[in-house]
Amino acid sequence: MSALPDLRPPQAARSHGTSDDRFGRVVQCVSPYAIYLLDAGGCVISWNSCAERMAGYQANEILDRHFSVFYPPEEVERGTPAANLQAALVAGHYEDESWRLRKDRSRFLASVAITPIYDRQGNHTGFSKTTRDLTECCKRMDRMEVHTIQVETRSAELERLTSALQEANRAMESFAYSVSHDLRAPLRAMWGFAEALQEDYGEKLDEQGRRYTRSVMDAARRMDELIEDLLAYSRLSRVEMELSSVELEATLREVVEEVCTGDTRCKRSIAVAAPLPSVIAHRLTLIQVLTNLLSNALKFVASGTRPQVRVFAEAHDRSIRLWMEDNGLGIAPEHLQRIFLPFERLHGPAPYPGTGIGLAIVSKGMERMGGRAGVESELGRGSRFWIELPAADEGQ
Amino acid sequence: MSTACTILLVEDNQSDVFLVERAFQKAKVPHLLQVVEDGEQAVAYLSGAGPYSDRSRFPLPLFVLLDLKLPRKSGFEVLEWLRRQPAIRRVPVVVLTSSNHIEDIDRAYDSGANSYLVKVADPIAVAELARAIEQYWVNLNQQPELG
Repeated sequence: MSALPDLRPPQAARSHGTSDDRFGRVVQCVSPYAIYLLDAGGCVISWNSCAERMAGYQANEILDRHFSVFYPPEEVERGTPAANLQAALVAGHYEDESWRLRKDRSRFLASVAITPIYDRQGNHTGFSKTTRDLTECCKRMDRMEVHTIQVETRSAELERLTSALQEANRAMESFAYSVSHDLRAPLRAMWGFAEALQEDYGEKLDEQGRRYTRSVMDAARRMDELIEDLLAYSRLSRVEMELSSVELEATLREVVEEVCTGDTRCKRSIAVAAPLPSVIAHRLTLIQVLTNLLSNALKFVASGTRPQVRVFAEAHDRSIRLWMEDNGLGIAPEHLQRIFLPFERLHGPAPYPGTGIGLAIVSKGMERMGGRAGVESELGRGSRFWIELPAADEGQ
Repeated sequence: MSTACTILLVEDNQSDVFLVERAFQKAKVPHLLQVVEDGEQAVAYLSGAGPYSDRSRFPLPLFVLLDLKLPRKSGFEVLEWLRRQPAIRRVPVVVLTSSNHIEDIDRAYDSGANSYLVKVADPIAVAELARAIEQYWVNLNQQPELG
């Protein structure tokens, strides 16, 4: 390219494409490349026909215009065009791969090389600039380059999404924090004052007045449980879970103690088919899951029926399925899927109070531990809930 | 009035102040509850500054019941300040807050809290909490020497 500049006087250069123009003859045949001749300030003084096709301008539209017209606006704003010329002057050559603009403002990925041009006396007279449209020209040749750039673009996008997700998580965290702080303060007041009203002025109220007061307190209790469960659910979605080997049997014993709170009759109604194997889980989350399943099994029974729960494990391949079989109300087939969604309830508040978040906690907790949860049931014939987790030891 | 019968409650929420006072009355805590509403007032009270300079009216408390989320100066700031005061650095501090975040709990202990309790909504639990505070911090706990 260093031989190009002194081939013809400036006048000849402007009559682009003429047959006696040696510059023109040299450059017209290398069609995948757009070749421009720029003056020392960066204005286009000549170009080849490929440049017309690549950028979409007619010759008369582009001659004498500054070459920064090919750069995206943000690059122009950053001063990239002038910086590229300067880099070429300093190093004798400049190359990069970046985005360029067509006349219709669409972008294309281009490989660009800029070389400064000097006359015989060594005075700087301008630049030659070759541009290759990578998106079109490289289909046959080096797709890899484009792919690399695409991969880089995608990983940058992924990075952006990851940080957006982390940001969303932090926002969620601070939301949960302000729920626990701010929402609970008026709740404490509502509940506490209703109780004070009942205790200090109960005798002055008639039966209806006392019933109203009790309703306020019941509502406060439900809201307290709802906030607690929502926080537990959101914590479950956010926290890091380190999985390790957990003994199902010991964990289940702990859960039974917690659910029955010392009631021996309650404990007798739960039959655990020992021994139970160990699984890979997050212990506290597993406790949360089992507590919800077991209290549901004990709660949703027909009035007058003594609850009976049977817990047993099955080995499936490399995973363990733990079953909880109850003699409760059972679930109609059309409800089997939606009971695992938050706020889904199949019963009114009496006689089965609850927030509707228990099974959502089960489902989310199992998902976070890489396991699964499900149910088999028929109306009036009890339910068989199961959870599945990876087995901890070979052969168990 | 003396240290032996004063508890300092640092709490900005008036409803919570009412409910704590009521629970203490019901638990028959034979003590005077002094109430300040923000962190700066707590610092003023504990250092006996400004309106709290009369120690016969505003004695050093047996212990401080300290909320963390406070106007002007947070509970953490009050706690950290208190532990740097040679004369009163041993005054026991029981944090009473609505946060059960482990970050808050750890930071409170790191800052020198002696106990960390979470506010409850259920009036029955509030009454139990007041009785437990009375039994432990008033009756069982041995007081340090101040100064």
